[in-house]
Amino acid sequence: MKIAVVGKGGVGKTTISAFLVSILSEKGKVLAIDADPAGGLSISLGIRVRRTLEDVRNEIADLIRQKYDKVEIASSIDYKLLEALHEGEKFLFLAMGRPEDEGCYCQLNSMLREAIEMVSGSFDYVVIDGEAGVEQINRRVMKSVEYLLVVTDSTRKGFQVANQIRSVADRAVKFKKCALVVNRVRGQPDVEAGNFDFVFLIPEDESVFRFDVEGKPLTDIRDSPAFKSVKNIAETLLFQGL
Amino acid sequence: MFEEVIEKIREQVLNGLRSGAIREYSPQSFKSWARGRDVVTRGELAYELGKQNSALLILWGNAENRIYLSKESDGSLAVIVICDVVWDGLEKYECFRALRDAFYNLSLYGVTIRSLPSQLKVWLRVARRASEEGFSLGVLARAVNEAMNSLEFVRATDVIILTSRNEMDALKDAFLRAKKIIDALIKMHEEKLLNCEECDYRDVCSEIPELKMIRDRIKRQ
Repeated sequence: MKIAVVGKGGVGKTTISAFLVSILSEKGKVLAIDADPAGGLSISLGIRVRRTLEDVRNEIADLIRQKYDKVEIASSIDYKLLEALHEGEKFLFLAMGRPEDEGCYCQLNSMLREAIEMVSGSFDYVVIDGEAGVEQINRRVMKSVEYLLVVTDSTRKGFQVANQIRSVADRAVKFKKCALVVNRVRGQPDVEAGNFDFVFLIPEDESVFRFDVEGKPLTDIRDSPAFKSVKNIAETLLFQGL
Repeated sequence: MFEEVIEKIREQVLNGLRSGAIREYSPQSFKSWARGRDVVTRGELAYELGKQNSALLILWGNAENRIYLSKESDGSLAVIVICDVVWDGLEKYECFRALRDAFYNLSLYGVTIRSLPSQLKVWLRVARRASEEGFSLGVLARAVNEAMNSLEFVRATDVIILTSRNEMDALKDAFLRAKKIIDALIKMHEEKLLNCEECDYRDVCSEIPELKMIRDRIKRQ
């Protein structure tokens, strides 16, 4: 099962992704993909990134320059992708890295995406912490996900961006269900689902703020209001098969 | 093309058989294994072999469908595949690619096999569940044997799996020689204009009759 978490910058996508990884890794084998070039998910998961997919891409680009054939390249991608996976105790982690020369190697990009999709098949859950838009999920990570979680805060701008993402999502990436996740909520606001299949609210949580300030991994949080709300999202979407 | 390399490998296998360090089997001694492309994580791992200290050689020469496995294991891994090939209009480079592709397409349930063909490296991870269900290096060797024999131009395949650094060190020169021959073969087919005077592979192309023939043919074209 593949879940992509997207939304405007600074709304808490990475926190939600980290909680999802933490919750789902109790239930099965999880691959966490940090598709945001800013690379915050590794910190939230307490991981030190040594190698990104971008490093793999650059190494493979060298093979292409040396005119190796498709099977040689595919085989090398598989090998190097496996090397680039960081193995945590309960999940595996892949950082996409910052693309330097987007578009120069279209065939390589699609081979990398195919390799990620193939690797993903060995996992029970794949959680993708995305960049602001949804297009890059399709372009760089995978063609389809089961669940698209569009995160916003309570600001008008946040909702605006969430609705924009929802409106382009249909043509940007294949998905089964799309949920709106309103993060850092105070009180019990009345939020309409609109074009979204579900709406979830996550309360403002002092412990998340404190862990972020202290640079502690969010995977150490097991019992906070925000964690419980993300657990509710996971249970509703995944375990009840909605 | 690989006679000299194979002779050295066979010699070491024979010594291993005599000393008891290597055992010989028929592929049917091991069970056939279900297919499935898996990523085995560290948490699921029964054992891991190869990666840094590894070698993957896919060669052609005489073979009789035999499997040779070393008894000692220290995490190293050399997979040597020798295929008896019917050269009925088949080109050497075409053969090399088909054999390499057959190895690349090897997918086994509960097992991760990855190879870097240009560096002749191989990396194997076996999950606990696969190991408990009877997966072994013999099972891997049988799967390799079956994959190669499924190619219509392959008559028989011997698979030699060495798992100790000492055994691999003893064959280091043979591995380097095989790599150079394969690199030369690839280079000749990727560079249509050959500048042999300045080429790093001039020695093997002059010594190995098959390479010499291919070089002469490309030059004539």
